[in-house]
Amino acid sequence: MSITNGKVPVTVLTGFLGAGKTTLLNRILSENHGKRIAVIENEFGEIGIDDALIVQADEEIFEMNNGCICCTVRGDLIRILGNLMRRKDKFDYILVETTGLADPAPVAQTFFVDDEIQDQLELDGIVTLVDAKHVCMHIDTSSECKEQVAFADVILLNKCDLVSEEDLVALEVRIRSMNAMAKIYRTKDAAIEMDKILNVSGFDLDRALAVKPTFLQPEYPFEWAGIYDFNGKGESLLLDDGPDPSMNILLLSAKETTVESINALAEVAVGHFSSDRIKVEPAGKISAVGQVYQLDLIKKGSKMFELAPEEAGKYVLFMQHKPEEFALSIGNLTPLASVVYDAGHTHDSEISSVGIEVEGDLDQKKFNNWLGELLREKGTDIFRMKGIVSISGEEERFVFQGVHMLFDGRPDRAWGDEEHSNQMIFIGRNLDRKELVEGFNSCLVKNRQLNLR
Amino acid sequence: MPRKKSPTELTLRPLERDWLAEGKDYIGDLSWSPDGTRIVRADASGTVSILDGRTGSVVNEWHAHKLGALKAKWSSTGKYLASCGQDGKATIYNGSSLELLADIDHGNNWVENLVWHHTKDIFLTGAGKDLNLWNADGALIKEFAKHPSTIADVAWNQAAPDHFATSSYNGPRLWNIKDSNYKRFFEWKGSLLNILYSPNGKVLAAGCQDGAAHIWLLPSGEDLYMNGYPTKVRELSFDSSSRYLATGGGTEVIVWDFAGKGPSGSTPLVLPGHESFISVLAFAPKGLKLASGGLDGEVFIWEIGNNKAPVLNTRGDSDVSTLAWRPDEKALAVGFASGETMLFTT
Repeated sequence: MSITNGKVPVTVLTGFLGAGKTTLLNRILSENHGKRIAVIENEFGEIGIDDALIVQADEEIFEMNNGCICCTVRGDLIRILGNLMRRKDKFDYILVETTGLADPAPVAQTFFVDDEIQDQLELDGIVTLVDAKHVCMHIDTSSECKEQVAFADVILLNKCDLVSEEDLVALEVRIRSMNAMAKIYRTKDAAIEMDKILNVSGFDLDRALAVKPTFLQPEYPFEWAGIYDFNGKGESLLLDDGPDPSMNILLLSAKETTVESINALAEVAVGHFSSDRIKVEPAGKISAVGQVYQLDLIKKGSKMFELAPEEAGKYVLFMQHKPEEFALSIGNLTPLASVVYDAGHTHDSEISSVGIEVEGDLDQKKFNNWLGELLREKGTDIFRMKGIVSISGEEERFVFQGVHMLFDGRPDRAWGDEEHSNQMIFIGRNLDRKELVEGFNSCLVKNRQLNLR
Repeated sequence: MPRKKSPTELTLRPLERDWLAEGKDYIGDLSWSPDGTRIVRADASGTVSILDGRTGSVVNEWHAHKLGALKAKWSSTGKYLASCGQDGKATIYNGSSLELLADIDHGNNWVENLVWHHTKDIFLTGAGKDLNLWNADGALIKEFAKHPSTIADVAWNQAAPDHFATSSYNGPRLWNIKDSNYKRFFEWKGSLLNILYSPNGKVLAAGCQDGAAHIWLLPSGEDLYMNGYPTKVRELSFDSSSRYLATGGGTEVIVWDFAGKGPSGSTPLVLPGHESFISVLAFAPKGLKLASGGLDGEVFIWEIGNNKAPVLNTRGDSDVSTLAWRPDEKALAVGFASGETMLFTT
């Protein structure tokens, strides 16, 4: 455990009742035996470690008279943390466990709003535990559940051993569509390496965007993938009328016939889908591996293509649409394993992430005005925001982050030889991707094209 | 908030230190025995100690509270002494022999507030949402209705013996010791960090989390809201005549004048001097001497209403955490975050 800039790191653990927060808490305490850890516990859990200081407190949400959402803080944390930090015997780490139904915003904002807290403590990250088996019961209906996912720096899909691989993939896709910034790990009994959840520097401007936001685009360009065993001769790919006049497909060699092996190839497939496509009309032949074909489906009625990889063997077929939408069949073959990547259809329209990446420099005044107005008008719906941008005329990178309307930014290291570029990510409710991208684009000094995928 | 700066440069005169007493940890409280001979001290390590007021030597010291000790106070008669802390305990001792008389357990709640009555040997405790009145032998006199959120502060009304006030999120409550329910509630959306009556009982003042001070005029309940402080206002002190209210919440002491129609529409007196935020303020028991301590370790003693008087000043090595005027107001005890205690002759 390290202490950065003399401040004591704080990790917030959120998650619904039963997701495994107490189990994780006990793991953290036992694996960091000998460290001075204080735990602010808001649900009565059984902590079996004696040498940690456990403070039980009721979550007290304080709103201020000005009615600003960003001034909603956790009064109990201000009181307790402020008091604990007076001791000469400083803590190495502080863990804050929230109740299952907590909105993480007041906890996060407490670390920005109160001077006493800000001087001595640093919010390291928000870790959200998701009960992989039962989360589907809440994720559509509970705003708290969505907020806990949306605010997280790290999401643990706990109890993953109780869920099928397909369901886990679907859940990951779903969660990724809501929060493109978080690191997602599958866990069983909340077992995880400590460096994945502690000292993650989720709110550290120096590590504002360790991963480029466009690599985190939640939507896959395909909705379905399945493994087929080809015997070396061509198979007829039959399609009926469907919802779209074309469909992109891709063949990749598969080593195994498992869902895991399909997922392992998904990122490779994403790369292929972004390169050139070959258009193919009905009766045409699809044979090249690693080449995306665009099937022309304009003609009414049944259409046939020849699917003929040159060598016999197992192949993963990635498809832009699900086979049932076109009553698709491939000879007499049935998929040996398949995965649905239907983010495009089921992803949460309410909570989403918008990543922006563009080269060039920003006009400082325009950018200030745009961001200021955006936060004033939409700050309630923007949960978290991070960015590294290039301000015209400045030699240093400008890094910033925000929680709702609270904004924290400063010049960072110099660009040097690096090409000036801008990266931003927003996570929030009812975000309008087009509007955000266009707004950002309008702040650029030169009229550059957005490099959006 | 309109501001009126002190017109002249500060004329500083160094404070003379009588003694220094070492200590273990952050001093949460210092309280003089009514005869001015001893000081009781509570620190964040849980230690309560008794210092000789003339020499600063520690004459007694014991580990009173697991975790931190938050308050230690002599009763107004001097017959009793009580301390409270993060272990959920309030402990009562004989004021002369220091013999332990009672240990009151408040469960998981920290006992953050303990205030002796200004004439009788009874005291109030505020622990979490629980408010209780105790006899000096530890017997419960009254259990009051639970607060909806944690009690931030408790204060007796010195002008009305059976009345007191509490503050918490959403406003102050006024109580009478005979009734378990509060008599009045001034609703206010915001977090009140403290509560204080003016000595004449006509003004109730509270500092707020969102950089403001809020006062209610009694008995009308008419309120005034002063905002624009750079940080939360944890420091409040009234002078004995009830004319001046000193407030912290920044690097400058802001003093509101209640003379005439004030402070409504008036500009407060602003006393710049501290380099960091002020952490504690205390008017002398009588007269217009005001002591301020800051996170910069600086202590100033100002004379309100007298621009020409020199300002007394000294600097310690750590944050000033507590100030306690000796009852004869000729000396000021200062507690620091380092655990040191110093006495200065004024």
